[in-house]
Amino acid sequence: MAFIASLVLNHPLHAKDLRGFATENPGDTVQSVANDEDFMVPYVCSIPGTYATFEMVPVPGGEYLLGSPKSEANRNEDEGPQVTVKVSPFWIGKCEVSWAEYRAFMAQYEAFKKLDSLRFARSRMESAKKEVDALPEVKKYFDEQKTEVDAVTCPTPLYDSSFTYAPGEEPNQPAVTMTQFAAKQYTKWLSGITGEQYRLPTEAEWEYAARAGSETAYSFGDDPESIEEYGWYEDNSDFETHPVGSKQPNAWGLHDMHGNAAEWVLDAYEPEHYSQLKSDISAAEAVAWPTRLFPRVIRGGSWLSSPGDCRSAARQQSDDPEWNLSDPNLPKSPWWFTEEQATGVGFRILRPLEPMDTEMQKKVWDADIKRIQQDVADRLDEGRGAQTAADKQLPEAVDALKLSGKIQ
Amino acid sequence: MPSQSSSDITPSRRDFVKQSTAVVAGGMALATNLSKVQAGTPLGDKQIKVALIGCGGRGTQAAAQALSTNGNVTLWAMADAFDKRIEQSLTKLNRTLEQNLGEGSEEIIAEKIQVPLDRQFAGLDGYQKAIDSGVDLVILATPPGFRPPQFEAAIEAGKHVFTEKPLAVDAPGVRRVLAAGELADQKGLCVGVGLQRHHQPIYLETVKRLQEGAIGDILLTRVYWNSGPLWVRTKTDFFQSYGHEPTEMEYQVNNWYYFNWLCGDHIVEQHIHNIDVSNWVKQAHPVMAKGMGGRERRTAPEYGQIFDHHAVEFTYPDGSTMMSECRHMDGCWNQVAEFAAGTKGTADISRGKIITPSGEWQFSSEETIDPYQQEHDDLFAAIRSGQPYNEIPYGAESTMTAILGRMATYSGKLLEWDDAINSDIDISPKEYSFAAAPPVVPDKNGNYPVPVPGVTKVI
Repeated sequence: MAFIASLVLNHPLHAKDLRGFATENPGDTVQSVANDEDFMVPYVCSIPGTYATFEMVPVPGGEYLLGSPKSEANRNEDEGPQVTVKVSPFWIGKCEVSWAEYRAFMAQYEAFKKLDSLRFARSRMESAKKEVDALPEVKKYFDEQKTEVDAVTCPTPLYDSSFTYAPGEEPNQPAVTMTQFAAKQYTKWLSGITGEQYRLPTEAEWEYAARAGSETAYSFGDDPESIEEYGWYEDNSDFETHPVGSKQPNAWGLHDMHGNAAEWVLDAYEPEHYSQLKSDISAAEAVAWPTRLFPRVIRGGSWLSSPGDCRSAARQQSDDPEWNLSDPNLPKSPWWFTEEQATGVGFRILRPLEPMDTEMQKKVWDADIKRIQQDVADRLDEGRGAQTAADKQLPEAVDALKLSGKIQ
Repeated sequence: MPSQSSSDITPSRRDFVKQSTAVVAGGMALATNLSKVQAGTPLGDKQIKVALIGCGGRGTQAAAQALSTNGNVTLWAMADAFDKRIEQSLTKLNRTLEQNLGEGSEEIIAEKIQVPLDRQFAGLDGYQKAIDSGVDLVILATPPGFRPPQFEAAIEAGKHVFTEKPLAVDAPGVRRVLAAGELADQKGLCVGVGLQRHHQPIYLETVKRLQEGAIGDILLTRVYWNSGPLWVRTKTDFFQSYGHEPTEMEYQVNNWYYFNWLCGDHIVEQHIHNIDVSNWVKQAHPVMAKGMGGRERRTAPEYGQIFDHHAVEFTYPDGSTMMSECRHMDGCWNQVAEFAAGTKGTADISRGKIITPSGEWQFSSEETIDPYQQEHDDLFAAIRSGQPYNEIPYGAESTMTAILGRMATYSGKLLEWDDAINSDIDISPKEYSFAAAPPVVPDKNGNYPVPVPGVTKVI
């Protein structure tokens, strides 16, 4: 499969050292996926260097029908024709990424900025060299950095947080209003510091996970009324998001696949994409890799959506010019949107069983078109952005900066 | 996008004149005399040539917005303290126009952006050259401390102006801007001020209702800009951007947010938006202020001298109160909003909601309007039709209100508006050059003088 390719790894991976594996069959009480030599099991991960945690659940490989049948109520043309897609095993977030998790990332801004500055200055200014030498963890972090390949940008501080947090800011509410680029950078950061590879789901993987074996409009059946038990949508959300995981999960234990925050996936939005797919295609081959800034695909519907827009097959699309309309700066922020439509958009993370090669890592983590690259470069150059390498040394380097009082 | 008629601006302006002549006793009269206002020559569909002064993110966007107004607009000249910023801003503008207009738009873009090297003016004196380069309108988007001399120069040269807020960082600066604003009226020049809430339907509708008495007499307003921290540019960042170590003046101009002579502190630079809404609703400016503030988290040398939090209680002439809070700290409770409470109800102004015993009113609109575009649409429409248009009076009044708040938190004392506006403490530099010493310099540990409540003299 093209998606898996050869194992060219940034980080040495041995199943035994990684989260989410069991060598013995964990039994029926645990949702597990049997591989040749081991079992994929659910796990909880603390984000290194922070107080936030997240929970991943294994999803077995299999094949399913992507899209909806013509007979489905509220169906849109872009959901067909249906195509059989083969999906490889993965772990996926039990819940949408919460503010607790995303704010742990946002909180790195000052540290990223300081590290970027010190790395530049330590070979040019004596004072910076001394500063670095006095902090062994920081020195080690710089010395062991390979290339700029690991560089990840941190979202900038919120300009007007009362907009961003309008639908809620509690730690257990889903994080929203970030751009797809920012969500991708989050998965890169998380991958770097945990040593496991996280990314956004592809559109086909997302729907496979949402359906959890079902062929109905919703994972719970065809009756939109039943969404009450499974999702937060326009009629029951009371104008805000709700704690992730507070409604019933689907058959694979995933919460909020219908409603609450809509979720970024990796794909570009193309209304006729499915008609161009061969049957029995792999999820990896089915991806519409973006070549433009927008539209990109958002799945699952949100607290702002009608039940029909929360169906498993329903596809929404991003619209950057509308969603960052009142951003007063140029370039507009590569990390944050400014309009209400975006306050319904968040994301969920996925970890493929088979590690990704370097080429795939770049595709799923980095700025994928020139415009985003340029906008990010401009912001960094103006001192209105922060970037550093995300690897396993990073949390210790950040801790060292904090302990020394260099940052808060 | 429907154009907001500029007549919507007139009521608040007239209201301001009415109340300020009634209120300002002694001290300097803030009001402009309407009889002196000259109608400008309508520019009709003629080409309007624009100079952008201050080429950061905000200025670049403001230029893009000016170019997006109806009619023939050309970016003609650019100025910035640093040449690299001009180059970057030009690249970004070209790129944005290309993205907006699509492929094959090279000719249109070449018409709209005509800034050859000899009309790119770098350095602290670049603004005057840009003003004198044959333009009709000047966009001022440099740090606030530069505003009074640059605004004066633009008006003296007979240019229409779009200026970012705030309009000054000290009382002498406010007085200079007010005087130049009056001169603009006499010369028939149009001036827009970047307090974009005045061009946002949700605010226009809500404030109008409050002024008409929707919640009775307003006894209390509460205004907030509590948010996370902003960018900071260290000496290393400067080196990284420009390839050499900065002089002290270069460093401060680049890291302008943290020096009072450039920024005015965040209560002035940012929180002015919310304070301005309260003044707008009350149709008055406060006569008194007392407050507290300090530097709790931003204590490192690169954070210069400004506070990271202020809380001020202002008193209006009718005895009512404005409570104001602004804070730049992450991890804290955050809110950017304005509220009012009156004898007959309450209002959540920023969310367009009015609540009275007899019912609730909620602003709603099908359309999303970009207020930053709208403020340019309105200004350019006025210039083309030759209508009087001058937002300086309320812009200057709100600037002074925020400065009064800063004076109150820095000094820890109860201060009166009349004393504040007449203060002769001028914090601007003696000489504008990168070789000159800025008005504040660091001690041997790299720390800058920081205000001390109870000790610092502000008037």
